[in-house]
Amino acid sequence: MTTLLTTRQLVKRFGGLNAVAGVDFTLEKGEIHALIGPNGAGKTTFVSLLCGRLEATEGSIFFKGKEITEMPAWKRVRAGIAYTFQITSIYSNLTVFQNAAIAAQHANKPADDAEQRAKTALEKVGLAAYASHEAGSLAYGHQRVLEVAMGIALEPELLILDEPTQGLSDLEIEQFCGLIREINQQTTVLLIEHNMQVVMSLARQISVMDQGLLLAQGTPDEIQANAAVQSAYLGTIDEENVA
Amino acid sequence: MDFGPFLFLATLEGLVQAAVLCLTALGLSLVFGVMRVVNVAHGEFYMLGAVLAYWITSWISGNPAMGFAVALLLAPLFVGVVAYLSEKIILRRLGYDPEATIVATIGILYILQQTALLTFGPDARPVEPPLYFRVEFPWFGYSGYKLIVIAAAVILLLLAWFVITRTRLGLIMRATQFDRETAQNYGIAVDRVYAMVFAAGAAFAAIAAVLIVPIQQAHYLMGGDPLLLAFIVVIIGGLGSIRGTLLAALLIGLSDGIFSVFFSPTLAKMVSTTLVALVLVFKPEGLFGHRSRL
Amino acid sequence: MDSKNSQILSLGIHAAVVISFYALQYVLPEYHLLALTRIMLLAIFALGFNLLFGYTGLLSLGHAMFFAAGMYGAGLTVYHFGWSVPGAFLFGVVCGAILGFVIGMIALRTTGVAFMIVTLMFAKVSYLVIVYFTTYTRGDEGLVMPAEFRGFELLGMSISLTDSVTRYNLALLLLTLTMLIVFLLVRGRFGRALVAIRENESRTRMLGYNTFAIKLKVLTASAALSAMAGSAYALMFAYIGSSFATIQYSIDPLLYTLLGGAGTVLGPVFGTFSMFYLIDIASEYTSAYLLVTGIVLVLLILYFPKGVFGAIRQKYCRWLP
Repeated sequence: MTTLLTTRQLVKRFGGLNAVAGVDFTLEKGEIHALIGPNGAGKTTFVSLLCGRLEATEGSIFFKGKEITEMPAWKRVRAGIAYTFQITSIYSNLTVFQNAAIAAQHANKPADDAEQRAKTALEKVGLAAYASHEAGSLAYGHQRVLEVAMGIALEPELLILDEPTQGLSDLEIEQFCGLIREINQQTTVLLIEHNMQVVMSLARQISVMDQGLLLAQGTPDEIQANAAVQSAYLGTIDEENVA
Repeated sequence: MDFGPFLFLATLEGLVQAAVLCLTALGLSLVFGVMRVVNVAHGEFYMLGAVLAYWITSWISGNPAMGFAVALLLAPLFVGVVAYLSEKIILRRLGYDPEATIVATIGILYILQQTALLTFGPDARPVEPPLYFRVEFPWFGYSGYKLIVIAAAVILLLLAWFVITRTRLGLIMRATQFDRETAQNYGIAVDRVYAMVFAAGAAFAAIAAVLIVPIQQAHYLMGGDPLLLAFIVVIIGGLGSIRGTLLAALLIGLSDGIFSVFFSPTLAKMVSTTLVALVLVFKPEGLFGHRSRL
Repeated sequence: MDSKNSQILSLGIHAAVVISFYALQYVLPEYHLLALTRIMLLAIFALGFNLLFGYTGLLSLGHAMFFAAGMYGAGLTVYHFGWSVPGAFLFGVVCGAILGFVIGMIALRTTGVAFMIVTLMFAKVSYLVIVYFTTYTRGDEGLVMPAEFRGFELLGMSISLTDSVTRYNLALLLLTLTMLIVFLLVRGRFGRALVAIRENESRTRMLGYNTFAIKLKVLTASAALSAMAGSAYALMFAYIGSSFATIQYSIDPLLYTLLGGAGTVLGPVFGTFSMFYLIDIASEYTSAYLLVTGIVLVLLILYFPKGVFGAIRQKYCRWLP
């Protein structure tokens, strides 16, 4: 296995708050890696540092062996890091096809087949039938899937998904898991996820964050057996599920 | 005249400028702070105040102080009503969308300005000062009325300060400024607060205009300069920060007054406008403020 | 309607507009010939403005500075250095493009309301610069181009700008060129990127677009087109004056665009035409004709924010560029 992305002592400070407090993280090529942790653990901040939406206060990020800490977000996308937003962030006034096409006509891909690649991405997620619909008129579940389609259309090496299953129905979640497995054949996937069933069924590696720190990293089995994780995180999830 | 007395004279002129600017900018800052609306028509409310002052003083014969006192009361009131109505009829329907409200206030600017041209005419007209006396300094005599303007502005600002920080009305305003939705949840009629604030902001501009009109004359195009200066002040002071606005008004008013005595006013305006644009780009929280929410 | 047919149809509609402008010169009396020449040049200005506002979503309140850059770039070189018309014209366009680039480098660090105010202020500064250097510009009073500079040779033809029909056709040529440029810019991939920025800039950045660079390009192009209008205006009507740099001239293209429909090619042309005649008629009755400007602005923003062509497009033909 080769390493795709690493961070070294990554820190993000907001005023006096260390949202990310020195994280050493490694992501292997080809894996599906889940990032879990309680609300406010710093997960979204952490992946925002990876994709460049936020600038790191300290520490460094390496992607395919090259340092990208200072690289602006749009260059990281071109280098192969795609990010899909936690809060659906599609172009709601444009058609579904235009949404995908904007993503597909990436500057370092050949110009002519952008439309074709947009179509392919929509077919993959099963939205081809809605191509000419206004994106804002789609059902919420479809909007989430369109968000993923835009990620796919970028043809990234690393796809970062921030809580992709939030608000989806059980059936949609099932379909979504299938989609992620399919994407994973070409793409490394890093996802933030609260739904433990999704995490356990998809992830080959799990990282647990709490209070800006990486608490543990391992296979699903290892994580489930980890006592520290149990007390910090898994316990609260169970309570939430009961409630 | 020697340099020392000359500088003193320039400072006095600057203080008069600063006093009027404080009032005008406070109105603009209040509206932006509470409503997040950039009111491009603010200068026209100022103009309207001056034009009304001319009319009122020319209707009331007898002692000029009498007419002036009535103008000082009625002109801001009337301007406040005009502002209140335009808020209700126009701005509210736009949902306070920032860009749409700017376009709308540009429209209001033209409507007010051109209505003044239709009714008041294209000429500049003087208003008689309410009282006339000179204060004799060792080096020169100075208009007593100008000193009164400074004093009046200080009193009004203290009053505004008191209302904003010490009264229930001020508390409601600050709550609305801080978080519109929460304020609404606490039963504050945000719509009413907005309309009142917009009216009050315009009234401040009108008061400033009534005070200055015995010195500067009323003219239908007189709104442009105070608008620009008030913008400068509000940006330098930190958008929506009242303390910053007052500090900046003092600084800008003084330096503008002093500058125009020594340099060409065009050059002074050129330099200050450029600097302010750069402040807005590179330091949007202003020089004295801490927030940046524009 | 499939995309090929719709492209042909929309090209046809735009061509029809150009052809009817061309045909009009044979029926119009002198006064309206002159008015339409002005309208066409101002429509170029509005189209340039609309490239930035309608397609990219950046509302500039200072476009008069670009118009003035073209006007003074062309006018001053003719007046002071005796440049010939074509050279001065191009110089004016280049002045506008450079100013657009420089202003963009600074102002594009802001968005939304701050961008509006910053552009407004830079336009104010430009106006003050013109007034300050009154020795060369004669400020408010302005400069009249000497008659001997109004004829020129181009490609073996001798052209005189004192002839109103010649001016009309030159203006039409420039307008056609501008429509074509805008048409090409907004149709393809570049246009898609612009619309993406307008609809959601941060998302667009996260799709690998250098949005700052794209906006800078558009602002430069928009400024160059506006300057082209100003440059042509100075040379054709042989006058430059600081009144063309006032806030009024920054608001006008916004008004034209809003009326006709932001983000359409025909909208600004239609808006300029209607507004020009509306003001023209109003000014016969009152000196406060700008009242019309105010009322139309307020009514448009309240009831008709998409403008005439924006509404037509939304209702009937979504393919209209």
